[in-house]
Order: sequence, then C-alpha cells, then structure tokens
Amino acid sequence: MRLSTLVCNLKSQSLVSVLVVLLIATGLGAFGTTYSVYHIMSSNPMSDVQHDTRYVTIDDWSPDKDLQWTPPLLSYQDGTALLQFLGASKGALTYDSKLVAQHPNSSYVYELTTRATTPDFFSIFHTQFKYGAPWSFEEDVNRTAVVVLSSHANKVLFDSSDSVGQLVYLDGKVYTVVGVLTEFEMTPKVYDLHVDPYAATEDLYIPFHTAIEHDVLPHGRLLGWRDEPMSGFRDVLTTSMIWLQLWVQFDSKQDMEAFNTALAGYTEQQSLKGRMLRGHKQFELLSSAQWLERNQVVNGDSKLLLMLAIVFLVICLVCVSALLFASYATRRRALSVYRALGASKRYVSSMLFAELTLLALGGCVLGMLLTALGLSYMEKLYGSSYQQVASLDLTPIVIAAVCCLFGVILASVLPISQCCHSKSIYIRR
Amino acid sequence: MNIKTMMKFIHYRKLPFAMMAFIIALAVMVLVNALAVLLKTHQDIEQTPYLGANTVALWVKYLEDGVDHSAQAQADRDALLSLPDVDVVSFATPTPYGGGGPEMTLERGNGQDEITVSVFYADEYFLPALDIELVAGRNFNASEVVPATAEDALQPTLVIINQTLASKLFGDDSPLGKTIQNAAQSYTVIGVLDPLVGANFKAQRGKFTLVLPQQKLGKWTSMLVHTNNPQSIQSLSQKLADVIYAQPVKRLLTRNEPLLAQRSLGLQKEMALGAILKAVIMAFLLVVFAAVWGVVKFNFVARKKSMGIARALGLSANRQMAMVTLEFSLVCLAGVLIGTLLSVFFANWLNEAFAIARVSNWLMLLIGITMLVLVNLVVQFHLAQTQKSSLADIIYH
Repeated sequence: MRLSTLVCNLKSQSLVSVLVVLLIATGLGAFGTTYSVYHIMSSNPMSDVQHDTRYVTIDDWSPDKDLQWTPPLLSYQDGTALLQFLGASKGALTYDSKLVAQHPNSSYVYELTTRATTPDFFSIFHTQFKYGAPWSFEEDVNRTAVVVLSSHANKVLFDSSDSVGQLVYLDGKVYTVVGVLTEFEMTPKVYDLHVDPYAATEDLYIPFHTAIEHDVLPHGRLLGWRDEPMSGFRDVLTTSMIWLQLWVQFDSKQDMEAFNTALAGYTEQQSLKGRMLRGHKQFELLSSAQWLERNQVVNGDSKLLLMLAIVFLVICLVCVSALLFASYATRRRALSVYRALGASKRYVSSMLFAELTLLALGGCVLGMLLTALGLSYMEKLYGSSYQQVASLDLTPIVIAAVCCLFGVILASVLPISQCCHSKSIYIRR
Repeated sequence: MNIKTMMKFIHYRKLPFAMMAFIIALAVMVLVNALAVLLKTHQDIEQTPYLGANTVALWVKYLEDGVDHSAQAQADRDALLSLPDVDVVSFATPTPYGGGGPEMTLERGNGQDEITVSVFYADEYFLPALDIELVAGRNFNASEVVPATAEDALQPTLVIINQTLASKLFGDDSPLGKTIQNAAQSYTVIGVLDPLVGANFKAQRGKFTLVLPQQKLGKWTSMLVHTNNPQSIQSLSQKLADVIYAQPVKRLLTRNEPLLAQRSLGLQKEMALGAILKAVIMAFLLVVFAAVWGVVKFNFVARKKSMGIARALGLSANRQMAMVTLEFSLVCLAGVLIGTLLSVFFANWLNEAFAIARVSNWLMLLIGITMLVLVNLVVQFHLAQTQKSSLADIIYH
C-alpha cells in the first residue's frame, strides 16, 4: 500500500475528500475552541496541593439574610486572630489593592495592581523568584516597607534589570525591592475569585501589616451587615466588615486537625461574645476545588457553548459518515476489482482506513489552525479579562483533536465494514 | 407523477432522507437566528458615530492633595497648547466612548413623561475638538461657560442637544429657543448637533445626549486634545504624556489614547461576535452542502439500476428528472418547515433575553428558498451525471 496510491484514490474523489477534510476541520475548530476555553476555565491550578491547602471561611453574617450565602471573606479581627493559631503551618492573609508606582528618577507614574499579603503567599501558590526572595514574617510584623515586583512591574519600572535593593515610590512612600518574580500566571486566579477570577496576577506584592500601616485601601469587596460607624480605613479594622482572605497550608493531617480544633474554639468563644448568630456550622476549611465550586467559576455560557460545539461536531461526523457511504458506493466496482485480483477484505479495509486517516490528519491540522483563530476571536468577544482563558494551551487542543480523530474512526466503521463485507463481487462485463 | 410512488421511494430510503431533513431543519434554525443576531450587531456598529478622528482623550488624576486642581488643569491645558501639533484642548466630562458618564432625567409633557439622557459638561472648544458641525443654532461662547471656580449655586442655563433628542422632544419643530427641564433646572436650547452619543454608547440612553457649558475640574480631569496633523496622532499620545508628566504636581494619566481607538475597543465585542457568527453561518452552509451531497450521491448510486429500468420501460428523461427533483424538494421543504418552527421558538427566547428583533419573514423565506435551490442544484448535477451513462451501462452496472 503506497502513499501515492492512497493519494491517487483520494484525488479520484476529490470533491468528497475536500468536503470530508473541511467537515472535520470545522467540527474540530468549533469543538477545540470551546473545549479549550472550558478546560482553562474549569481547571484547578492548585489541584496538586489541594489535599493540604485550605481556604478559611467564618460565618458571622446576619441571621436575617439569605442562609444559603456563606460570607466568603474574613474581618481584620478574625483574620489576624487566626494567624496566631497556625503554629508551624503556613498562612497567607491577603487582600488586593492598587498603588501608584514611580521610579525615583522618573516623573512617569503607573497605577499597578497590588496584593497585600503575609509572606507565606509565595510558597503556598508556588511563585518562582527571578531575583531576590520574599520578606520574612518578622519583617511583615515590623511593618518593613519592602515590595516584590512581578516581571511586568520590573520591566515597566526598572527595564527588567535586577532591581533588588532599589527604591521605588508607592503612593508617595519609599519601598525597597526585595524580590522579582518570574512569569507568574494562575488561571483561574484561585487565591482571589471575587472581583475577576480570570484577571492577571498582581504587579506588586507588599507585606500585609505594612499595607495596613500605610492605609493601603482594599480594591475588592468590603462587606458588612452591622450598623457600625466608620469614618476612615482605620475604623474598618475594628468593625466586623469582611474584606480579607486567608489561605492555610498544613504539613500534616495532625496540623490540620489542630488548626480545626483551634478554629472551633475561637468561633465558640466569639459566639459567647454575641457573634456567629446564624446558629449553623460557623466555619469551613475548603479545598481549592471546593472553593472553585462554591464560586461557580465556570459560567453557564461556556458550558452551553461546549455542549453546542459537541453537537455540531457530532453532526459533522454524521455528514462525514454519509459522504463515506456515498463515496464507497461509487467506488464499489473499483474495490471489487481489488478483491477479484486477490486482495483480502482486511487489505481493502486497511486501505480505506489509511485513506481516511490521511483525510482525518489533514482535517485535524486545519482544525487546529481554526481553533487558534477561534480563540483569538473568543478573547475579543469576552474582553481583556479573558486573555488568560482564551490563550493557546496545547493540552486541550490536542485532547480535542484526539477526540475528533476517534469520532472520525467511529463514523467510518459502518461505511467501511458495509463496503468490505458485501458477499458478492460486483464485476460485470 | 404518482405521489404514492414518490412517498414509497422516500420511505424506502428513509434514513438518509431523514438525516438530510434533520440537518436542513437545524441549519435553517441556526441560520435564521444567527442572521438576526448578526443584523443587530451590524446595526450597533453602524449606529455608533465615527467621532474624533483627530482627537486624543486624556484622563488625568492629580495625586497630591491640597493643591488647586482647577488651576493645575488650566496650566496643563496651556502646556498642551504649546505643542506645535495641538490646536484645540477642551475640558470635557466625560469623553466620548469612555463608558459611564453622568445622566439627567428630563421631564416632558408637564412631568407626565420622563426621558433619561447622557450629559457632557464641556467648554466652548468641545465641538471643535471633535470636529463636529452644528446642524442648527450656535455653539457656546466663552462667557456662557460656567467656570470650575464658580460657586455651586451657579448653573448653566443653555444647552446643545443632539438630533435624536431633538426629534424625541420636539418632533419636526425647531428646538432652538425652546426650553427643556429636569426637576431642578430649565435649559434653553441654542444648538442642535448630529452625530453624538453618550460616553456609554452601548446603552439605549446613550443615544440621547446633551451638552452643558460647564467646566468640571477637580482631582479627576478629562480633556480632549485635537491635532492639526492627523498623521501624527499615534505619536501624539507619547508627546502629551511627556508634557503632562513634566508638570510639577504629581499626577497619573489613566487614559491617553485616540478616540477612535477607544471606539474600536468598545465595539470589539460586537466585531468579534460578527466574525464568529459569519463563521457559524458558513460552517452550517458547508454542513448542509456536505449532507445533501452525500445523501443525493448515495441515493443515486443505490437506485441507478431502477432508474435505468424505468427509462428502458419508456419513462422520459424529463419526467424522471421532475420526479427525482420533486422527491428531494419534498424532503427539503419538510426540513425547512421544521427548521422555521424551531427558529420561531428560539427567536422568541433571543428577543426576551437579549432584545434581539426577530428576522423578517422575507429573510426566512429567502433562507428556505436558498436551501431548496442548493438541494436542487446538487440533484440536477447528479442527474446530469447519471444521464451521461448509456442505458446498458445503467442496467448492467
């Protein structure tokens, strides 16, 4: 069985061959695009560590409000208290903000996204440092004015050079650069699903206590239900307003149980002080998968689009099957000549499968190109926050191509078997 | 031509015919609704005016407290005007295509009816900065613009409205000299302009716009910078940033880009949706063509002998052609009808959920006829191929 013979056979049915390739490519393009988006949206970047990393929630919400809704954030009082119970475990108490950054020798300023956090954030979420290292917990507690830059911030402020030790103005205050991250991406942004789960990671990272000291205001949600007087940011620290997020990572099950026990004791104590009025389970330690599920990160649109794309792919494969039926029916005489000359049914089926494989490979290559094009349009459709989601990730595209190939093989089984297993040889003359 | 015989033939090959009808029905449903969404998208893009080809929008945030922001803004304006490429700088809040923006509720008919309009607070350079000509009336002059330093009690009394608002409020009558009012204030119309949409040009209220002569300068100030050198508009943004950042008071430029770039960014979603819908329409036409081709070809191969025998028994070529064409047309019509019914349900949902108007009946008829023509073209092609063979060929094949 030569390649040239296969190509010749395909050329003799050129229109059908082209149609089959186009159908496979179109079906794969639609399925690949939607599956790629769905795959990234529904992925859990923390799946490899979810067994020992937890998100902490405490329910101190109003008993008169919707009981199904669990407050997703912590108050300053609760967050800082829980940090004391960690022991040897790691904890990242964090919130997001925006700061105006300026290089000391430049008049240009840039408004950059900022994360105020305790230093365990970097190890819990597997960030890599290109230069320097994060600050220590002691530096955090001592309100040291240090900052870690993302690679983008380092490029904007210091032209990608080693900026460790350099000074930078953040909202008019002097900070020292202690570290620069390598490219740090997380889609969805598991550690902060509130404002925009698909936004890029932050440009600046500053110590949590330093941010509080410097009145760095939270940019995300600030929620409360009690009527508590406030005149400024400092008052928020003493109220029950929720705005912080706490992620904890344990080295062992015993550590997790110890923290669980301490958390239970804390909520019990708070309950005696007149808080935790809802009466049911007052705290939760959620894995990253449970946290993603709770926030319903994958929107309904993506699921619907994926289902429609699967249906469309099935329709394309059914059309491929119909075209193959018609094509093999037309070639019945030629195939019968093969059989008459001694070719076995197996040989004929192999030849037809080989032809189909060529067509399928051509369709898959074209389909992957269409997928790349489709992803670029999906990004424009959903906006810049979907830049991470609509990025070209080979894994889901390859999975989609393999599924499509499998579908093509399934679609061809009936036509080929019917063609090859007919009882009589149709040669007359 | 016996209908009973035709139905028997169709029944004999019911699976491929059913597949063909199903795919045609699905294609009609998708095409009708995709066209409806595509027309709406196209309308949205076309109805968004093309403004400010030579204009850059600047949004400045003054970072230092305790400074006179309006004096600083005036100083910025003077600094920008010193650039050779800049001929007009206008203080305008908001800027077109910027999103958001203040609104006002106007009363009409003695307070019986209300209409929400988008508002621009601007100076006398607003229209020249956007290269907009008035269709009636006149522009503000400098003495009529309420300065930023004026007391809060001082409010503008004049207004320029856009043509859409003028038609809504006054019909065919001239609005010049007439008054419009909200709950607190009356304004005399001195000019009518066309086109202009509100900063939030995606919303229905963005179509009704008025311009009040008042400078709004403060911690946040926005400006429109017009250039007399359109070729340099891309490099102008950098020059403007250099001038702004060279000023003594620390400030942040949160927006510095040509207005048309903001328009394109705002319409990016519609353009992408339009492209995706066109791809969907082409994909479904391909699927229909492939399905019809496959079914027709398979049908003809399978019944070639019976067609040959029928010809041998005296059936004329034309009659045979008519019979076969009618069979496929019946199946196609069945698919089109089912697809039309399905598309009506889907169109109702699109209308309720997204305010997308239903496609006109003419367009649905056109889609149905297109399907019929497509099927018949394929049938005629295969018929012609079949009739090339001799009778003996066909019978003994």
